[in-house]
Amino acid sequence: MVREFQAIVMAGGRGSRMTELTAGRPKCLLPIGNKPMVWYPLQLLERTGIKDTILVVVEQVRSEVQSALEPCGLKIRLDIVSIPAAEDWGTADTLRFLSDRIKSDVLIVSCDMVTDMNLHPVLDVFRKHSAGIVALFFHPQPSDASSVTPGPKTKQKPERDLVGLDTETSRLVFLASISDFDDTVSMPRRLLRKHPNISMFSQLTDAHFYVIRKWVVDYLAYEKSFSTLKGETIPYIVKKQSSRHNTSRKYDDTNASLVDDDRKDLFHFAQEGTLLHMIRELSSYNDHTGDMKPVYHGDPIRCYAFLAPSDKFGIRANTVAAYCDINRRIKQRWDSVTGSCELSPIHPTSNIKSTQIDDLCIVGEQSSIAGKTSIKSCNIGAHCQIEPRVRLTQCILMNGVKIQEGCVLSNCVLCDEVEVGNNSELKDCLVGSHHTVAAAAKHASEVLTDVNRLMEI
Amino acid sequence: MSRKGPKGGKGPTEALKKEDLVQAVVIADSFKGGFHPITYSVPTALIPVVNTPLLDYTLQCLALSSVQEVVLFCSSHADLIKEHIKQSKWNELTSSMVVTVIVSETCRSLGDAMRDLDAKALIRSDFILVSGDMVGNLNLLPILDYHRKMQKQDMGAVMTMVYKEAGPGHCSRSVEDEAVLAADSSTGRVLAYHKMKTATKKIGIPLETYVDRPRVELRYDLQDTHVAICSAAVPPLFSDNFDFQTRDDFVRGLLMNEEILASTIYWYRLDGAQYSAHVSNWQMYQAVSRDIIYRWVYPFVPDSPFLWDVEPYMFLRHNVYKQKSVTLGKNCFLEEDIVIAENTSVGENSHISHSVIGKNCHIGKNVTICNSYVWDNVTVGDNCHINFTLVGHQSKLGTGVRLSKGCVLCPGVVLPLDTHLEGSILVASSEQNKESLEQDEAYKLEKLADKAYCLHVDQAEYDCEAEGRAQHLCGLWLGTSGLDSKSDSEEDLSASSEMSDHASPVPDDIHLFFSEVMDSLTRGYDDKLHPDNLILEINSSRYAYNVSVREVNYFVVKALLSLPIQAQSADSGLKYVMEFSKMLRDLFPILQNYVRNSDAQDDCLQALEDMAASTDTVCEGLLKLLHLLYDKDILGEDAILKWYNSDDKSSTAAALRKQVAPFIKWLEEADEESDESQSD
Repeated sequence: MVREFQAIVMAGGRGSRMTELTAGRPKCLLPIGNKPMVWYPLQLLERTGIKDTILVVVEQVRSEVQSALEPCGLKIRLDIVSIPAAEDWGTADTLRFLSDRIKSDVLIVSCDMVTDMNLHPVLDVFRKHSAGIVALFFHPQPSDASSVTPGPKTKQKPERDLVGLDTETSRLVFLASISDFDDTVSMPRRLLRKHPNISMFSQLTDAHFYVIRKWVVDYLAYEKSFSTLKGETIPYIVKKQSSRHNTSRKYDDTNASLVDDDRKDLFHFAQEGTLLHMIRELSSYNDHTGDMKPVYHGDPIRCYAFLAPSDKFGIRANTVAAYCDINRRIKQRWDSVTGSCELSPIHPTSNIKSTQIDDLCIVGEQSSIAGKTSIKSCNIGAHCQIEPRVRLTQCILMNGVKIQEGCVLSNCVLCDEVEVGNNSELKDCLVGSHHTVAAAAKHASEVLTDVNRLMEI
Repeated sequence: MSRKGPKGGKGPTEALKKEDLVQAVVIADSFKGGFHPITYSVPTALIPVVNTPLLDYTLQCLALSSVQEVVLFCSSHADLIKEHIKQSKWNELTSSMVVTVIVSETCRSLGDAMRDLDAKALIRSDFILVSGDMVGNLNLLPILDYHRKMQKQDMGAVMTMVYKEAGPGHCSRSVEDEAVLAADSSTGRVLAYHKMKTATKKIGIPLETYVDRPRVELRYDLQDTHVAICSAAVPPLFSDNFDFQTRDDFVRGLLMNEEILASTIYWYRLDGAQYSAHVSNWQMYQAVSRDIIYRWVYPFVPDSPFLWDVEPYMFLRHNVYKQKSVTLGKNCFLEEDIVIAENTSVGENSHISHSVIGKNCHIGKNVTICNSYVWDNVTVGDNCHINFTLVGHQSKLGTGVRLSKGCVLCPGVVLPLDTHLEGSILVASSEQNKESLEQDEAYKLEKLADKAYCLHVDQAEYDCEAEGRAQHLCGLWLGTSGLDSKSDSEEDLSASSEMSDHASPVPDDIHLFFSEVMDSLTRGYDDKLHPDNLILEINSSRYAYNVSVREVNYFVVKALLSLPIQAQSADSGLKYVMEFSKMLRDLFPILQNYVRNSDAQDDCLQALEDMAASTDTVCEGLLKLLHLLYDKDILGEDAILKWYNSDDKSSTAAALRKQVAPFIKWLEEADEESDESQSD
């Protein structure tokens, strides 16, 4: 049976915006709460009613991902596909690679999306307008002004997009990265004539959740020059909507042969069935008023955007800042993000003697926390050992971290197998995996890692 | 400046302080030639729309919004306007609104008027700025309150512009006011304002407009009502900046020098039930007249007694409005959408539809009047046919006159019997237009009868900014305005190809004209004369040989194209194009001057085609030439594509089109590709 949608979770990214953390483990397995990151989009798909999904990972970590997801209790059937790491494939390359397996329209989800959105309205927009692409955008999340991102204070310039939507229909009419412009943003007049009321957004987060019609995949399989979806393919298709050819309903083949080489363009792929045209002609529905143009101006390519309601939570954990932020919030938002999935913050096999551990903490299996410690708002992974007289505030400890007596850590991220020596004081630090922090060391706002490890990336 | 003080502290006497008065400034002159040449005898503000002068609509609308004081600013025909106010109800003691007339003969723009107001210190607080040709039923007080609210939030708020929603293709959308407004969605603050001309293909908005604001609206579906609420700071701003002439200058200047002037502008969206329009040209005249007849502007409808001194009309079936004293002959047929004022008689078997007829008119027998506007005291002889025409006061049409396709008859024209005219502008005497002749050499008079002179308007020379302005000058906008410029120019194209077909054996005069243009250009280019002087020269030879505008366009382009051929070096297509672009460095203003609307673009393409057909080098370089002219914004893509798609049977034409096919293909994808190249 062919399903309406095939889901693809893109987890082959290497976390290039957070290399300090991804040196030791693949990005998609970084813990958020007590689950690996990739678990969140998977359970979201599961709750949306998707029965099986393709999970794309890099070849080397395939088994690691598989074993990490096994204990999570997902009912969704996973088809883990590995892609060669050496090739450095973008998302469009990956789709091209998968094109043989794609038989229907596609949902593309990134592994770093954490949201409490219900996806059905997004799918409904896709169905309602028989759109080519529907993209999901989040409003910027109100951020904690007080929270400091661990690591050196770099002014990371966020990669922002300029997104233009038709205010009435939410049609996505303009999409470009702000860094593409120097000074002025020019817009063809034709576009404004078609969409006379455009809302431009500059602070939205692209959720990297796309609903894509099958012809786009066919086009990608044919046109090999695209490498990424977000950077190249989608802006291109959005732009093509206003192209002149777009208005011609039937592509004239005789006309095409006049063109020097008979390369197919986007419109060959985007043709709609005659039945759909007939339905539309008989219907009195029109998406715009004012001119005498047919519904959708007769465009076969239509891109829509779905703007998440502003009270909804949505984030992409693709930077250190966003990653730390979601870890801080996840426990408060657990119910809405996971649909009331059981949390069990303190793993039964853990051994906690501390009396000062607050409600916002999560402790993984077989971790031991000695008495006379104070743990506040921390996320502690599996097999960690915390010795007496340790104070931890707002820290993320991955697996196998050892913290010796008398340490004071606040707002730090400690990767796998980190050891922290006696009486160290760390504030706003990132500690790379397998690193050992010397005893009585004092660091603030630093990245502590073995240099050669970082070089590997 | 704020009207509201602490509640308890206000005594009844304080409440009557002068600051509490709502003031309005009405500029009774459009300072534009939208109704030229009728405005040489009638001021814009007194042009009757559905038999009521425009100014009365404006003042009545202000009165309904409880405006207490109006400053009426007049420059041309100030005496007529003064007289009109004197006789109106505003001059009576019972009038709730005081109208003060200020005359400034030297005033040539809105900016001058504001500077004058500033000098006279007449403005005390926020005021409503309206032009005297506003028709609307909008309530201004909520807008005034909105403006004051904005001022509380933002000290720099000086102006709130009022817009109503009318998407592209809306019939009451004025072609003069094609503009894109970028505004902050949450505050309504105007961030960028981009007025568009015909050939504008792209709208560039500064990036900084978008960043740091969560949401910015780009609106192309707005119609400027030319109503604005201004702070008292506006007149001084005009005084400080002498280059502000129009309101557009003001808006642009404020947005550009935001930091220096520390002033901001907001916009207000008029809700759908309220109507406001700015009657600035014939197209709007027609649209507004219809809106009034269709009762969109209620209570400003002919059958309501808003006009104190006029007996109300009867409102009959099929939107026929007629006064009691109207006499209708036997078998006379009033179809629909008609207004007929008092003491008018219509003869037997006459047929009237979609028209407005003034008072004391005599319409003869067997007359057909459709889609026309007849002002007061007009006599129409028997068997006349009037279609899409405006007939001014006191005009007389003899028997069997046929007027159609947008004729405009200025007041007092007398047409002899059996005159047939299409799209002409007629004035009553040559004296009347002396002033205009001095002002602008673009007008020529041709005598038809004692009291009928046909006015020829040189479209190319007329300093028109907006698309289709030339068509307005030719008369009434025909029918509903085209959905977009495409449909208009499609007709133009067919006209142009007809023209070039018929003109194949070049008449002698035209031949001479061409050689003279060639001489001028060659000499001018060699001696490095100023292009303006060359344009003058070309224009004078044009009058000498009586050449039509479109022919001028055609031949000037042809001459420009011929110039590089004379240069010996241009022996290949590539060299030719190089030579041509080198030459354009000096002569570009000439090309710009002549090729400025879609008609001219068609002529330009025709010239290119003919040159390419006759000269090999041009033919070789045709593709590059097209590209060059496109890049320089001489040719629009619409024009090029239409030329490309026009059917021409001859084999050379087909070959030429084949040759430029790559460019056309590129053009069709131009938007995408040029954007991409920019981003790279």
